[in-house]
Amino acid sequence: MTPPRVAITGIGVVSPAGCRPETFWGSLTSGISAVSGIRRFDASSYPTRIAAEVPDFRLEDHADLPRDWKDLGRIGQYAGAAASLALEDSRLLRNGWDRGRIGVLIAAGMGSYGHREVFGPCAAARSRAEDSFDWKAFAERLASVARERSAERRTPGSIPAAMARRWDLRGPVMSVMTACAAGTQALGDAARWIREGLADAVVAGGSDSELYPMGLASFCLLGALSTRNAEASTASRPFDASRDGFVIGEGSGVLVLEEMGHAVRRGARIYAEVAGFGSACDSYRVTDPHPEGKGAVLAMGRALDQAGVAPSVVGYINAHGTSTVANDQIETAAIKRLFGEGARRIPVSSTKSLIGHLTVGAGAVEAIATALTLFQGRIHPTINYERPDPSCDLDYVPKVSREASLEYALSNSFAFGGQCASLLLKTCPQ
Amino acid sequence: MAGRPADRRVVITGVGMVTPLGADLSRTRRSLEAGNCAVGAVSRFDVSCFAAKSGAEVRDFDARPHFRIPKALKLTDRRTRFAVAAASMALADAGANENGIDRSRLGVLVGSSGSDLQAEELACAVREDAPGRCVTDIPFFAERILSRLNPLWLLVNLPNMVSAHVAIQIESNGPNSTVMTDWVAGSQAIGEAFHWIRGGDADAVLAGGADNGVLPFVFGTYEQAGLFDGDAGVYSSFALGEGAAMLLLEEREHARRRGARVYGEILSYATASLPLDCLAEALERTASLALERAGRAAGDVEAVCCASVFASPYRQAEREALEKLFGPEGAIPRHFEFKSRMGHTLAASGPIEVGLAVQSLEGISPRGVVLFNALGYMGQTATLAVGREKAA
Amino acid sequence: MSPSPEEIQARVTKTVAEALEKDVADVRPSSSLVDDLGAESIDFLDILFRIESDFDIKIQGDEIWKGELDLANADPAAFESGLATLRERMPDFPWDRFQEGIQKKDLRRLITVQTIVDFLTRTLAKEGERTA
Repeated sequence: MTPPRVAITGIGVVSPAGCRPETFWGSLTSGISAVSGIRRFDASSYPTRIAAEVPDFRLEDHADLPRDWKDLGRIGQYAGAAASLALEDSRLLRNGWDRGRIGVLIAAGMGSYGHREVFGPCAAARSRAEDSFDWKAFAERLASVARERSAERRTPGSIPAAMARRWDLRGPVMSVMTACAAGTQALGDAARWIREGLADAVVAGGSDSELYPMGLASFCLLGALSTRNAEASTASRPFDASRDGFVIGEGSGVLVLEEMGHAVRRGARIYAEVAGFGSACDSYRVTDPHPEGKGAVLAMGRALDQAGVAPSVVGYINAHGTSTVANDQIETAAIKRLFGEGARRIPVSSTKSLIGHLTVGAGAVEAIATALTLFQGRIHPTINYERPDPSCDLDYVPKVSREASLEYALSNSFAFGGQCASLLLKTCPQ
Repeated sequence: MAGRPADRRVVITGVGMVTPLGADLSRTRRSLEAGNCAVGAVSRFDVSCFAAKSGAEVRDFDARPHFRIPKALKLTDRRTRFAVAAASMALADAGANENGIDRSRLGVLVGSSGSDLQAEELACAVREDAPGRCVTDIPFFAERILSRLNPLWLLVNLPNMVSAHVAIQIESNGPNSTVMTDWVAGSQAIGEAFHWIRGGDADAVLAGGADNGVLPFVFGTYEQAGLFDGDAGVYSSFALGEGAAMLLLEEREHARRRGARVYGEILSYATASLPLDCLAEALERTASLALERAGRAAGDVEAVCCASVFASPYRQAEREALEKLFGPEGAIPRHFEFKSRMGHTLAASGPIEVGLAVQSLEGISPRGVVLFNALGYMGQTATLAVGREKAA
Repeated sequence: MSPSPEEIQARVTKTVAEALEKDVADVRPSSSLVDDLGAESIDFLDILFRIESDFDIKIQGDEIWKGELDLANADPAAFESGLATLRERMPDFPWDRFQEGIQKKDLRRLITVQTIVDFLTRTLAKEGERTA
């Protein structure tokens, strides 16, 4: 008996390029950069002062989220809004489907602790030049700050729990966290739940916002970010010879994954099929990625194996494409290793060139872009690709979007720590 | 992949753990047999201002021997060190170092509820800042943090690094992820790994949980959430602990071919999340789903390991759920219980409990089932059903 | 008064050994951080931070190993002459490990413990002059 097939029947996106699928997709295919100077807080003394922010997000615009959803913090709010949009888009909850067969699987970033909540106590603990840490002062300040918040801690796990509560979803509920690969991981895990019979549908995706003082600082300290502050919209330039790091983005992508028979029987609109998923770890050095992308090759290969197809069927790759010197070169090498001569015939574009790196949310938002690529028959460009780099010599769909009738597309996400995840989507004829 | 999903069965062939009762499995077992309790005064930081005064700390633990690349230690927090040690001990316990587990396909899945904000390092970076200018003056904050904080801070703080470090130290390239669903994360990791193997994504997975609850931010925020003795004390005598347990799960034929010793078989897994006041319903749901998926009936349940042991509404809900499914509490002959001896080790608790219980499954009949419940304070639940491995 | 060259050498050796989990005895002036001591990219950041803390100085970006890394942008002639200067400065370095010649991608491998010591000796002497 073949395992159940998995369809994507709803999408919801909260992104720097907009919160409606049409706006989001229109912006991507028109090659519009969502990167600009940071407005969220005063970033004037940071070496990197640019980001891709979600414009004008208001929780009130999402009427079916309860008021106390606010307490989940920005990451939870984005996720809730995207989930609400995805569920609406899918029309899944309109019929009396068994809620015990609908699950929730969300990857969420860690950044929901408040600046004041952390640094108030830290400042209190070391307010004098002595060497010792004043635990009493620390605890007192922590207590007074935390008292102002709701009882529920803003952990990543609180977000899928809140969604399950809000929509009375009684299937499996889980949160995963594989950093920059997590959004893709969540979709792969959700697809597995359906194939293994644990659920008939899953509200799945990722959400993150590292756009807060400590978040930005922690990436700056690693030297991972572009410092091209004067020309914000050109800073994210994956595969280009003058790339100098990634641009932080924020947002959430949530998809409704559904057992194919279930989707077809209720006449759902199917964006694409999740044909395969692969996960691997580089395990090369402690943080340096494997120079030939061993983990990436394994992850992509496993996604193809799970679908039972050869590399030659892949018509498009939505790259991890962060615009760092290391990733783009290694990802290119990995693609060439797996696809051989055929690599040069496969268009590869990077959503991050347009909306920056959504970290824990990236994999899910990019899966939405990949699904729309298949559904609309159009590939969005990699913008800011101007000077070719000899070690990145594939077709990156520079500047202008392209029509394409595709059967299979891959979406890649790789994380600090060497964790690699790859999702294979397939066109579903309507 | 050998066999179709229905044919692939999953057994436990290795157990490794680091707990407050002992820094490895055998020391933990000896401590339990001696009747020890690891809950006591917190040594690590001053708790005088917190409502909770006790904790359960891991002692006499040396992570270094388990690190093939010792340089990684500077990038690890405590829970990560526990996880790497537990993973390496599980592999040794399974005889995996001598007789072949293909490391390129060995998966790693760790459940963890959080990571270490490294409060002392952050405070050191913003030191001498009275009256707390860094809170409101962001350019000042940035200037301090960027010039004084160790650049590696984020790599220690990222929760997923626990799974990455395990994979790096044991040299595995298999599927790799981190579950973060608060206290049920470790039990979910075991259940998900069970499906990784059943579905053919791996033939062997190191699955478990690692956590460190003995941290000031955890003490402080749990107190505000009303989880300690006090006005809204949901748990009484609830002591935070730390530790890790990793189990080596293997596809059964794979284990047989290499002559591995089998502790037991993972029969099934179920998880859900309902509003907290429906906890009895949630536990009833996951326990009955686990039984159904395992192809067993209520009468087959010969032992249970409850999630909650302290007098609390959680304990009440669990009692209710079990009574509904199995009759009065005496109906299940055997109860396993470890939290009263080592505190609540958060996401590590489920895997520690499975790892310890499967050391003494003699007396469980061939069709017998041991149920392991886990619950989270937001209403999450998970149940694992474990059995003796059936004779061929 | 700035520390003596011997003191700088000793402190740098200790710092590098701690950062890379090596025995002090294995950390020699001509040791390549990458090839002999196993440093990865993150270790360069870590070592920089530790040196700054230990010597209480601020080091801009990659200034500390500028001599090596700047060659990445040099034209072929300048590249060769830059390498010749490095060979003169580091006669104990195992140059013969580069059997097929040195390319731009190899520059990081030329950074040694001595690179750091020389930078600090120069910088701290300047500081000393300024405050004298």
